Amino acid sequence: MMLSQVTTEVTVNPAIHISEVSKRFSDVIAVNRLSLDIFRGEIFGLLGPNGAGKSTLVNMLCGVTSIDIGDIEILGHSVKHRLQAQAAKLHLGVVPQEIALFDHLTVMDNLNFFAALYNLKGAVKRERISEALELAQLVDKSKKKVRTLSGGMRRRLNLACSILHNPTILVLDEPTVGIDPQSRNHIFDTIRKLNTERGMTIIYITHYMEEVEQLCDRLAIIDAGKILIKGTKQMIVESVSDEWVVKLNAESITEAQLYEIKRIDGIRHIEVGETEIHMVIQKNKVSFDLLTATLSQIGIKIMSMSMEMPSLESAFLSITGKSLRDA
Amino acid sequence: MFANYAKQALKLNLSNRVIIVALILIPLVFGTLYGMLYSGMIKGYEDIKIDSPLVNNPLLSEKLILVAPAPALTPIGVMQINIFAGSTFFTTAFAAIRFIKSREKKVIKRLVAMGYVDGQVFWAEAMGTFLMNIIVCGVFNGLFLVVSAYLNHVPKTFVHLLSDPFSSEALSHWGALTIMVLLQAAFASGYTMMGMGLFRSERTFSQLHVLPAFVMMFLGGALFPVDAGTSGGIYEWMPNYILSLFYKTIYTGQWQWQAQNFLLLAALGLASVMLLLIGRWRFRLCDE
Repeated sequence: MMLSQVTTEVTVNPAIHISEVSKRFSDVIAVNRLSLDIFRGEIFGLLGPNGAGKSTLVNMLCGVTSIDIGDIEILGHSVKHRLQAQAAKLHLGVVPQEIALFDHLTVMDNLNFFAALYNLKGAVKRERISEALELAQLVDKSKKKVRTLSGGMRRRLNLACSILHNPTILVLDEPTVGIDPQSRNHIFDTIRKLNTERGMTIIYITHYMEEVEQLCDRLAIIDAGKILIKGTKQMIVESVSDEWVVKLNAESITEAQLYEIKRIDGIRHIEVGETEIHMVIQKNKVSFDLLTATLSQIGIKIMSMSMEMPSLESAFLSITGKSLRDA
Repeated sequence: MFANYAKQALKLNLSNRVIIVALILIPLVFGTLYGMLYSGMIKGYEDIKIDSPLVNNPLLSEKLILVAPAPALTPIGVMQINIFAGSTFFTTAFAAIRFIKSREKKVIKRLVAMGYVDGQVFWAEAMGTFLMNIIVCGVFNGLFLVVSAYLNHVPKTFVHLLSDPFSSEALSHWGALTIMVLLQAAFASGYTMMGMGLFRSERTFSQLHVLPAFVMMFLGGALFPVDAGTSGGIYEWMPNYILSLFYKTIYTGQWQWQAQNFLLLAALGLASVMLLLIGRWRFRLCDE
């Protein structure tokens, strides 16, 4: 199956247009003829195992790594042309995977440093720093040195330093590595706020499925430098597997009724518990409504019934394989 | 963008605790020592005795005193001046260490994403380092002048030119001192910028940068008396020796705008530019 064909075809001008981009490091092809469009105002997840080429792609987007073949356009500006790239970067904010801050400076000094580099001055500079501090909930820590902050606070500051110039596009490269759930949730809330209130286009790079599931409108799974599949979560999951899990709670089910259930076309597997029955169904053969109707016909009194689509993790493992990525 | 970054680089340099300590300690220790040295409180000079029958000739003695050679520096005098000249290579290295560390922490990635390019960052860092070194050398010389003026023992030192600060002799010495400070700062900055260009690992740079500095200080007479003849005259070409020689002539009021001095100053300037260009040649913000 051509997985990459599963995609939403949107014809609006993309915020980022990646066209047939390739990058080779000696004998390793890190990114291989990769094409992708990321649209204005969406939260886009880039998912892939270690060494898939995610960071190389981001580095090419930021200009840290040169592009061998192809081109990337940010808001219509090519990153391969110096002047256009300069113009594009005015709209780009990058949160690196590492804590890219000065440990020996205070929170405020770090914000001042990056604000000055963004050429912010006077009242605007003060206002933006104040907004960033509030957004990162570090107002009371502004005079603390970075080295004294917890991992979560540093991550929040790392993000705050990247939004001082109010970018149109924000790229976050694994921004929640090694932090507690509270800080992670705070970062998620911040990202959602930036997206909904400021209309920022967000590119979220991670290998944590649950983060992508919680945050992203669309996502792409990348491996070995290629996009294997892209689209909404539902589209990706459905493209990989049409098997859904139905959980049924019913009053006592007789052997005869169970036999009838097994005969329903599209039911692949049944596990019977004391009060619950788990069924794996083929979604293209039996719908939720049809199943409910059939069960009623058999005479089963349904107390509750739910249908779960397969997890993104199972789809991810199905697409990228289960072998270890130690290389 | 260049000015913004240069200003921030200078701020970062001066916010480093080690540099702050060095800025205070080096001028304080060496400025005081030199003040004492030149004022005669500690034995920095040897009086050269002119053992000649003409000395006893009442008609010729005055002329002989006028043309008598300047007092030679004792080994401790040479070493002290040299240590200061060399010490700037250690303080200035912290600017490179700070930059290489921020490269390792991917702060540079942020800069590139902001739109900064190699040349802007390199020359802004060079400017920030140069200004920091001017401050180090300027504070040192200022403190030296204060200590020397306070002790005020030497018959004809640079301090005495202050009695008539606008005389041509005073202006000539002020000018020479300014050029010396700028040259010392430039050479130290060139050395640092070469390190910024060549090294990507802070640990490697920290371990290796002392080596050429020590070799230069050793050959230039900071660690042993060069007049013992053991370095085979190579000391005359060492930047720290040239710097110490010029500082000595300026502070003892013997500075002359001679061709030989011009050549040495030009050589020092050229060496600074060479180091800077090597750094620029190898300097890359990007990973490859």
